[in-house]
Amino acid sequence: MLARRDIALISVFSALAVSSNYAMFGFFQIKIMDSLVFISAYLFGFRIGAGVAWITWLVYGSLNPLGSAGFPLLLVLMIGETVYAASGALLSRVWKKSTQFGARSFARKSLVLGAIGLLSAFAYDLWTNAIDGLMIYRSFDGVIIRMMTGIYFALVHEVADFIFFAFAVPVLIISISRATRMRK
Amino acid sequence: MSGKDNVWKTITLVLVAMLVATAMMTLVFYGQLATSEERYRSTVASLDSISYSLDILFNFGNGTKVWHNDTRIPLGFNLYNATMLATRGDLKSTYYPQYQTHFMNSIEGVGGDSSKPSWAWMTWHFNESTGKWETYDIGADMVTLKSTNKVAWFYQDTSKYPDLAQPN
Repeated sequence: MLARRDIALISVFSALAVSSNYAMFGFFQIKIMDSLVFISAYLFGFRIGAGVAWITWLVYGSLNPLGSAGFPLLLVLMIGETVYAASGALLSRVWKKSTQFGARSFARKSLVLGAIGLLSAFAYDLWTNAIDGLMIYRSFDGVIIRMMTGIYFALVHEVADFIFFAFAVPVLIISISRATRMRK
Repeated sequence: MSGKDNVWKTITLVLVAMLVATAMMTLVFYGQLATSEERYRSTVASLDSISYSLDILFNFGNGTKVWHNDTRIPLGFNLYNATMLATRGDLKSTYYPQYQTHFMNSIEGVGGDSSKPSWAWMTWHFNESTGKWETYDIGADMVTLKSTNKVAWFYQDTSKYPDLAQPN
């Protein structure tokens, strides 16, 4: 069962992710949403991250200027986005939820975050393109075709995530953790 | 966990990320290459319907041989036109109306050597059925080219005609 605080966190992060998605609509495949899902899971746990991922896609996938994703694609996107929640929660366990990015360790931590962003995006693209190809062509060849045709967009997505995770995520982790500490 | 372990884990993670990025880039470039090749084949196929492709050899008689392979010529071009195209006009010739053809004086500055009065530019073509080079019996302007042609200009001693050295 989710506590009131969890619902509030999911709402705030989802609102941020959805609004930033609309704001960055012109930049194809470049979204800060992935970073927000990751950060929410890193700071507040997998359940919060997964909640943000699901709510964000439920709204953005349904009310999209390009048209609604519809079922079951919407479900595929929601599950795919959960990858970021999983990687955030996993890193949080490894780094013991550290919010310290000292001058000496910043470069290394930033690089690790960038690599995790890129790999998570790769897993997300692999999953969504594979299932999308399977749904459209109903064959394994279709999966390959969909992956090959989407490879350029996947690369842009992965590079963008590398940059966001390496530079924006550390800053956001520090600032959000300070804000929550102030509230206590 | 030691600091050394952390460094290796970081390096491994970053290398895996780089591997993924590089693999993706390779696939993107492979896709672009495949598209370019397809476009090239399509363009060549379109060109084939309005032009010919032939190989022209220039043997300058001094050991220098220059091949102009896959020279693209419009339909209806004769050997003289094709030679003009391949040399970018770097030739000297004299037109003989009575034969309706040009006599080649020099190509790219080679020819018309007064110390070699029996030397001249000869035209050749490769006979696919016999597998041998043969001289043309007509002037370059009278030679209608086809796509399968392999032709040659050879600056050579003609004093022993028809017993001539092969251009290639």
